[in-house]
Amino acid sequence: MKGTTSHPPSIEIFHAQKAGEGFFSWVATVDHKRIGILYLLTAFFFFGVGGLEALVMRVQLAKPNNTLLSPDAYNQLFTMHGTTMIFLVVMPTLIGLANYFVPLMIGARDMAFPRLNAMSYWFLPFGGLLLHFSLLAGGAPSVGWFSYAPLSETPFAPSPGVDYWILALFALGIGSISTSINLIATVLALRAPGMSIRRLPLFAWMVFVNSFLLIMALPALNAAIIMLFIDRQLEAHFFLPSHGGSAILWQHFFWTFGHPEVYIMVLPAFGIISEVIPVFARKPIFGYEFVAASTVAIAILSFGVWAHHMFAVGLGQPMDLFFAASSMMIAVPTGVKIFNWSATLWGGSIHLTTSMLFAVAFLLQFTLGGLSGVTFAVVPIDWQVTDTYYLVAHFHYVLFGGSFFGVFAGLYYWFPKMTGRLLSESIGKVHFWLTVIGFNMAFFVQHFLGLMGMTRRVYTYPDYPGWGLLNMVSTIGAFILGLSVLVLVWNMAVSLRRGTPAGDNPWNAWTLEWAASSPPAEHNFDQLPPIQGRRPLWDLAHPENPDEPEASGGEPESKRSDRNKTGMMCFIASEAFFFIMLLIAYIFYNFSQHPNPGAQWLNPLKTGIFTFCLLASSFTFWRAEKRLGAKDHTGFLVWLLATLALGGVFLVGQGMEYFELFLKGLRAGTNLFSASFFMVTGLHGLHVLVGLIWLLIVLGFALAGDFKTGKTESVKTMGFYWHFVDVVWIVVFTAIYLVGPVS
Amino acid sequence: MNEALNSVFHSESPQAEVISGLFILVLIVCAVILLIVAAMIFSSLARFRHKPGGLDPKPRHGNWKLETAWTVIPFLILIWFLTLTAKGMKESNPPSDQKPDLLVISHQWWWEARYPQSGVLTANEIHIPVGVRWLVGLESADVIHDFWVPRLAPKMDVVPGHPNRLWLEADKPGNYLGTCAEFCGAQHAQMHFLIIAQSPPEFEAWVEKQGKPPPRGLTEGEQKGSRLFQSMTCVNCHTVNGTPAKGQAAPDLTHFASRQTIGAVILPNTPENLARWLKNPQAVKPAILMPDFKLTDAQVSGLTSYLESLK
Repeated sequence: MKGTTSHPPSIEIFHAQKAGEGFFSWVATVDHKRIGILYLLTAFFFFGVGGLEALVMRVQLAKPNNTLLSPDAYNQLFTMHGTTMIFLVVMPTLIGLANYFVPLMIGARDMAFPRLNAMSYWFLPFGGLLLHFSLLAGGAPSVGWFSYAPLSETPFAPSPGVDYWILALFALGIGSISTSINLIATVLALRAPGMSIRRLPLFAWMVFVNSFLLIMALPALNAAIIMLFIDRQLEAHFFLPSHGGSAILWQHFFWTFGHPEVYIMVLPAFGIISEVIPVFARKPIFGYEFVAASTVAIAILSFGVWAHHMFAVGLGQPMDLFFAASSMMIAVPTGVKIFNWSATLWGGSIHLTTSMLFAVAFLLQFTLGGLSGVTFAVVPIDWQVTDTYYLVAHFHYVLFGGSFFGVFAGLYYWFPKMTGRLLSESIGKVHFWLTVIGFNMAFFVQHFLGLMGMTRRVYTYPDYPGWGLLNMVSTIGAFILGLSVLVLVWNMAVSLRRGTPAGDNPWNAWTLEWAASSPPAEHNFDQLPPIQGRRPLWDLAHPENPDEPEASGGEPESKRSDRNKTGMMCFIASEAFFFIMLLIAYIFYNFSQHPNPGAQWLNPLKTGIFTFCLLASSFTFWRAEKRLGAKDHTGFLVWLLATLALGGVFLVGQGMEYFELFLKGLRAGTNLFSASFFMVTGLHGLHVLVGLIWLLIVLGFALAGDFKTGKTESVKTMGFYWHFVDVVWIVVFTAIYLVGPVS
Repeated sequence: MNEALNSVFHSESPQAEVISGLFILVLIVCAVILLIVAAMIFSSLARFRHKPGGLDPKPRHGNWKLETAWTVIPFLILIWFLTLTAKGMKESNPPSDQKPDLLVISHQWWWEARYPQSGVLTANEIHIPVGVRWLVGLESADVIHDFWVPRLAPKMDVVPGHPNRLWLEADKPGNYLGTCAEFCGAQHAQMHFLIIAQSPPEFEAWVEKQGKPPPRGLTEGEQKGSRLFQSMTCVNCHTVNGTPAKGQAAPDLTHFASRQTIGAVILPNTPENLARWLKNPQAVKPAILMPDFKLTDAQVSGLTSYLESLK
């Protein structure tokens, strides 16, 4: 390529980079490309685990009345299969690809926060280990991946499997939220000159939108699992109807996360398809603006459709109808994407590479899965077929036929960039056809099983007419699918040993990652080509016929966000959603139900005084910042100490309040008031504590003279957090002490 | 009991009929859309394949008219679906404030049925009169279950602390298989039930018989079983009307012998199957709450003959 230096293709992916070699260089790496590969390898490992779990289940279901597995073993398997595939396979695979390619596609040197990036990754194996540690501690969770309460509560699930499930999801959530913050800050702050938002490659664009979904959806899951954990560990009853709790609130909270999660698992795959189809049809994407804007529409709508998972709960017909309408509306922007991809094919010059074959199969299978999804939005149909194998077929068409096929398309497309070597096209085609045949055999027949009355999550079934045959077909399909994965492994192994050297741009693609060497140097680019449109490498290769600037994103924006501020704002937004969920729970349990004794012991005046201290600490911090700005180092230190002291007083006050309530006999498990009170104020107190530790660190740096040079961003960033914690307290104080539980 | 296909399209009630009609219509529309997309894709693949030496095609970046068309047309189809949805909901499950004709209470892993008008109580085999639309109240004793009879009615979750209602009706006499559709723990897979639709006179006769205590005049063997039943912990969980057995945690056995099946419709109610069950329930249906009492063969046969006398 012009404007770049080409490196000789390397033999081994693991020796590709000069920066460091050996095992520990991978453990300690902060390079986004290595972290991306770590994500992909870890996800691939768990793909094997989750896939084997699926195969064991299919063996059990191959014939009627099979007794190979005990009911509990089967229930553990499907719980682990779902949890593994969602949290340890699909999400990390897509995050891994985003990690590797988003910085390259926008012409950046690395992610915005490389060390945070490494931390995010290490939460993945940690979370995976936590989840699987349950096997040594009395058995894996066996309540399904959405852990419906009260089945997931201690009386019905006494073994600690669910507790490990909660801890694992919490750890994985921390990793996902920090990666998302990182990706948003990367896209907003680190784009190369000329790479305007409207010129972002669609993969980067969809990852960007997806990151917002993640930081807003995961707090709902975190709130729900923290409440379940309090129920299980502190004997509260948030979700135990026998003690006044609500089984339905769990479902609302879970699906507030769970439905955006479905799009979280599919939007980046949409992004991959939007890269692969144009390159192999040799045409720019048809309707870039519509593909991009429909992503935003899907993201927004995805927060308004959660209760379509709950049509059979009996929420009432007005509620059902509202969610039917929103669920149907989300099909419109999804359809727009399908039509634009199909139109990109039309009039192209189509190269049916393995990558393209997977993309085309994605189009058809995802359309089928999307349309069966529409049938679920027609509520009476949902009433008949939800919780049957028709549903199992539907979401596997979306997640395997969609997401996984997208990932495979991306893998064949980008593997040469990551390793410097092409995957074999002939083995690739064997892999493709085995995958298509195995997948459709395994899952298409499941539609019929569902319509014939077979419910999901059954470890055995009676010998009804047709059931045994269709299940056997499905099992055979699953094994063909398993075989296809072995072919993929073989293909990768062959390629790594003696694959054809790829060169920088084997597909004549147009986005910036192909301007780097294959694999890219640790610093990514020696020199970037000029970016005047959406397809910089097309413009470079066709100076006589470049994309018109208007048709490809208009004039570049020169302004770039500040990465620290952006990152902190995203974190605060995510935290705000978390506290909103907690407050919704507090209001739900205290404003609409019978009075819970204990609230009368709260003392608004006394707590008001401590509240004043906390608010005053915001003021003192603001003064500290001002003094720092005026280069008055002593003044800065004094105000900082005052902030620390006031924050400390607030925590002491909260401790005293807890102690008094404790002496009066109030515990987290006493009633719903005490549980929600201790939860909301306690989690806020924990945030204050984190803030105080952070302040101490700032103080330490200040005493060491760190901010004298005028580099004060870290203090400012800390300030956003501290003020946020105070604002949260104003809301909490108003809700709990001023308005109070209605009694 | 399971010879007929239990499919959602073999509907035998007006409510289920509404849904299967709606389902078929929506499936046809969806199939047409899928075919259009597939035709676009396959004709592209057929017509626009790369030819060796061929040049890249002229770039086309989009077309507003097309974009509008494929936004607006699906939108209109979905609006149409939405009106069908509203209509279908009303027809298949109209809201009602009236008192339920039948109360179904779900347990891990069996179904209790109470008839408020007659005070009759039974388990797992729910009799209804043919051609009469009944409102069923659904309540759960423990976790969330789901009441589903594919051929008769839409499914409805049975949620603790959240009573639900559902219309149930059968056009023809017969057995309709139902099952729990929401995962509810270890034996979710074997939590079936039967809806037994009978002509009104037959149904009335059934109610009348169920309302009475079981017939007296036991044979000697049956009496032995009866004494065993009353002296063991059976009575802590099971009820037999007219005897001291008043347990509420497990199925009422007053007219056990009149039922076609045992174990929540997993085995035909024959003395052999019942003996197998009593010998070790955990071997027949693992993880259920009834423990293995390690009964001797003599005890099993006594209990079997007693229970099979409870007509």
